[in-house]
Amino acid sequence: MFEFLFKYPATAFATGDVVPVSVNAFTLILIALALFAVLGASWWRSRALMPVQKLTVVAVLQGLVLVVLLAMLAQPLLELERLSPADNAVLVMLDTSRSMALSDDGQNTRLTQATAAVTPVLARLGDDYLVKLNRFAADVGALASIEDIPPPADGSALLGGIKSLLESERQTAIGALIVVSDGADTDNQATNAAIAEIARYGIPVHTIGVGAEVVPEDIELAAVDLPQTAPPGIELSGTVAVRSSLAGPAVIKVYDDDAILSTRDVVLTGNGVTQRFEISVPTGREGLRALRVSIEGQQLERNEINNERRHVISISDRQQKVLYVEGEPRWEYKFIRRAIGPDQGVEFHTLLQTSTNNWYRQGITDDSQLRDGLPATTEELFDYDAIIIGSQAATGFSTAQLDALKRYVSERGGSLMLLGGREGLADGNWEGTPVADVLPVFLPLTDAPTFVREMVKVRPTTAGLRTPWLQFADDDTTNQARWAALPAIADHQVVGTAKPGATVLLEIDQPGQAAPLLVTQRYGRGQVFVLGTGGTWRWQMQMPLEDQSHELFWQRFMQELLRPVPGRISFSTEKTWYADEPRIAVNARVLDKQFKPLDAAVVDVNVVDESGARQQVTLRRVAGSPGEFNGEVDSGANGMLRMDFAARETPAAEVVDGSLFVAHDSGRREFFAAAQNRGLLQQIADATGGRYWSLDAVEDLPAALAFSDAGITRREQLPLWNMPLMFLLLLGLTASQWLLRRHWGYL
Amino acid sequence: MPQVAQTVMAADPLEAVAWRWSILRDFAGAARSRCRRDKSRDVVVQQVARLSASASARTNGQLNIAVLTHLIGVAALFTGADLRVMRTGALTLLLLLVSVAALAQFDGRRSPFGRRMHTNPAATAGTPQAEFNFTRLIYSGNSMDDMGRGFGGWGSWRTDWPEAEQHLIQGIRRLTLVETADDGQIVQLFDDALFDFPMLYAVEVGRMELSQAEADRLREYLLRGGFLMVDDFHGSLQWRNFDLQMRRVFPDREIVEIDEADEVMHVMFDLNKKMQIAGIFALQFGVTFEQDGVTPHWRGIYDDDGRLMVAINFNMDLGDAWEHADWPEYPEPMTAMAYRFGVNYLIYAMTH
Repeated sequence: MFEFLFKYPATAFATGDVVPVSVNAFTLILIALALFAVLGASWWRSRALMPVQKLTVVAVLQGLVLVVLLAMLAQPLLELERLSPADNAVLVMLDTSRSMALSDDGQNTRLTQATAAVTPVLARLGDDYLVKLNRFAADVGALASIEDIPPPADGSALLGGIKSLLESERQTAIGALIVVSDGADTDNQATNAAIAEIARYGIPVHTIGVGAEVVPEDIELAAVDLPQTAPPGIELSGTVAVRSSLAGPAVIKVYDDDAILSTRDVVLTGNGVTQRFEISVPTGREGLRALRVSIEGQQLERNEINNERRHVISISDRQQKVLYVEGEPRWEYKFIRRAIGPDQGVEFHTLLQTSTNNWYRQGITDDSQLRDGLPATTEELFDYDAIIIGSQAATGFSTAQLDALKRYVSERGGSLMLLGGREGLADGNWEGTPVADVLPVFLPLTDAPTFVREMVKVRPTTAGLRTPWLQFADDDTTNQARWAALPAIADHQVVGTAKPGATVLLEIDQPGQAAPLLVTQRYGRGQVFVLGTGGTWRWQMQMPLEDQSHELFWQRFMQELLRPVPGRISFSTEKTWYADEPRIAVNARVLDKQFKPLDAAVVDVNVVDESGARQQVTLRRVAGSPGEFNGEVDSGANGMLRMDFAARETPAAEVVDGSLFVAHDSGRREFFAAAQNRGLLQQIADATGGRYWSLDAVEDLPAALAFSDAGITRREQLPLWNMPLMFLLLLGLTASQWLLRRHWGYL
Repeated sequence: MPQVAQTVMAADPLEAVAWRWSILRDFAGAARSRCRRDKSRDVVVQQVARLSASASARTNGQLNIAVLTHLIGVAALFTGADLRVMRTGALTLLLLLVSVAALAQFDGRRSPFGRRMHTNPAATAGTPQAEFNFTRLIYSGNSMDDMGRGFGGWGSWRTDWPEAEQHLIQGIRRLTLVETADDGQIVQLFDDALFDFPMLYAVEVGRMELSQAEADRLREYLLRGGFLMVDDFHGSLQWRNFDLQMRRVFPDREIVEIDEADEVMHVMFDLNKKMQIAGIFALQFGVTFEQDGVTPHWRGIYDDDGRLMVAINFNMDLGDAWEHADWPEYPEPMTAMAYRFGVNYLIYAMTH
């Protein structure tokens, strides 16, 4: 339609400049004045023949006709660069990865559909340009002809392939690059930075999307979200994301080898919707758990490979330690303790000031712990993975302790949570302390009490509804209903306004008075939460015994507090299951006992895969990131990969070591997220000045491709006065004023 | 003391009066000699007057014949006065109290003895105004209960109200950092507000009788995390009744002695389980026990995680010890220990 109205494709207008007037402007103005003078005189003379209002309408329409005529007389031009035929090459990248062998209609593979649509286009392009045909999967290679396509291969190095091809053809005059693909990028390089890097080559990339955007008759286990480490003997909570085009019942199963650890019946809604489901997995004894998580539906599927994912958990008896300091006896303290319970694998130390001279300790394993009240030394404080401070005034801490709390978050990477209370937050004079810097809120500056004993309901914000650990149910409707059904909390506190970058997860549900209640932000290496109440205990006392909302809230909150907390030496990989990825990036962070970065450390990784093949890698120091080290190891043979890390400050110093396990599989990645990733293809095209094409519109590609300022071009001036749009306007306006006059009876 | 046990069971208030009178006579000799040795007649008369005032306040100014008879009897026995004279005095005092009680209807805030009076304690419990609200449980009584008959017609649950909690509240404020409401709350098991008060106090539970629905409700309350302290019941008969009620609440849980090492005995103060905290009437007779409840017991019912849910002060009257904390005659060590038990129960309930 665009090209019909404007004579040239949109790409031409996008790349070119419109010159509105190409004739002598003075002459044009004189003509315009003359024409409008005639029009004015005509209007004046006709006043007696027609009411003024109607006459004015007709005159305006006639004036618009004159404007269009003048625009045509101005002879506008479109100045642009057009590829010079025969001087340029057009690169073509055809996706030959395994996902292109999938069939969306049950008859033809994606590759077959793509070649059928693209072949005539390539033939037309060959008339004007040198067409260089390439295929890509895990790497890029030249293709002799479109009939000479190799068998499907593992991997889809989409971004990496484009970059590699453009780099290798730097010496060639390239008019455009055409990518025929389903948009899968198994190298995980689809970042904004990678796309921007491609755009810097200045070559328009036209992307041709292949494959259905919702894979028909398919259920896919899209993601498994479980921790990498956990203590033994607990029920571990996690989430599973399932994307399905099939509706109906299905079962999520978690296996440890062949033993089923847990199952969950679910109902899939279909239509390609991604649903998240909570799962609970018993961690069992200490050791390594190579879990298989699967979704098993009752319907026939075309692709069952994507129904299963692996996840590796190291079960370690190293219990994470949490300190909860409470400045006065209150029910919230009791019910938090009950909710966390002894079964959560957390060493939960609580320190409660019962009277002016008494601190009451609970959960300690050694009588020397917290004997003198609040931790006095940095080392003692930093030994905790998370710290909760209840209704405790800042004046209860020394300046050194407040400084240490700030460093605890920023340097040690601990999680800190402040609760509301009579002596909490603003009422506890936390504003102005070093801890206020790390809080996700600006505490209110007021002498009036901000803590109120008033029962109010709580509701999750939009961000809260998207936060997995705040979900009480799998589907949004039930989840919101569960939140709405919770009783009011016993009290609340004005926490202040959220800082830029902070996220409000819960708010007080009062008409016209919604106020933040649970706010979080990262600060330095740590995470900080503010929960402006000491009254969630009503969720326990006011709900039936069998309701677990209160317990779930606090248990998941505790898992969230502990989830990102690193130890002194931490090793990590991006994930625990690698499919079709030849290299695995590993990271290490090494701190001394004061949790200060230890740059001088030497960090070695010894890797052994299931075939017994070994490799040793010394990690590199990351410039500008003290204490950080990284490197890459080969993913090796299929199966488990054990990585033993050893870090030492000096050759003679104590070695701190640890192990990580990941799983590696080949030939599976292509079957996950197999729907056409149109968003990525569109983004690449937009960023580079190209255009996204669907297979049924691809015949227009050669015409659009010509308007490019890449390669060898020639400057052209294309007339615009004769655009069909101009004539249609002339016709329409003239006809309108004529029809109006006829309708009013003046013809 | 089987005779005592049989008399306690008497449903008729007059029989109860007769029983009390016989008890008084049994103790008369010893009491008279002790009185003559330790106290002057004036002191005893003052004590009787104070007891009368207390009795009147306990009943919102309404007359209780049984109590009055006790007081006069005690005075007669201790002072050795002629009973005929005392009867005349009793009649005069009776008329006086009736008149004052009538006047008290016009001024509900002051008792005839200048004590602060309170509005109907059975008013519905309100929104908690502090972290801790001393909450007294209103329960249904059995045939031993005073509900609708003697003791002001309010029921045994009301014993020692409001002085007991008023004094304990002051103690909690003095000894702990617990934010405590000025006044106590009272609540019935089927009040909506029940679950807003995670700790309950029930007194004279030897006279408690729960329907199965009430027992179910109490079980739900306790298992959700509530805590119940029961107090001021004595002897095997009252125990039998209380045990029966608790079996309705927890058919599968035993009532056990609280171990000396249990955290509730040390959470704030190290408590002495051997001290029997006596009721005021027992002390008047020179003993620390009532009925056949000679041995003090600190018992409890625990949940599956070993947490104390119900603290049972058996053969003990902490309520009296709190109530009479400002009486010079009430033994200070008992009051001090009663405060410590109250505080320990509270801190335990707020931490476990």
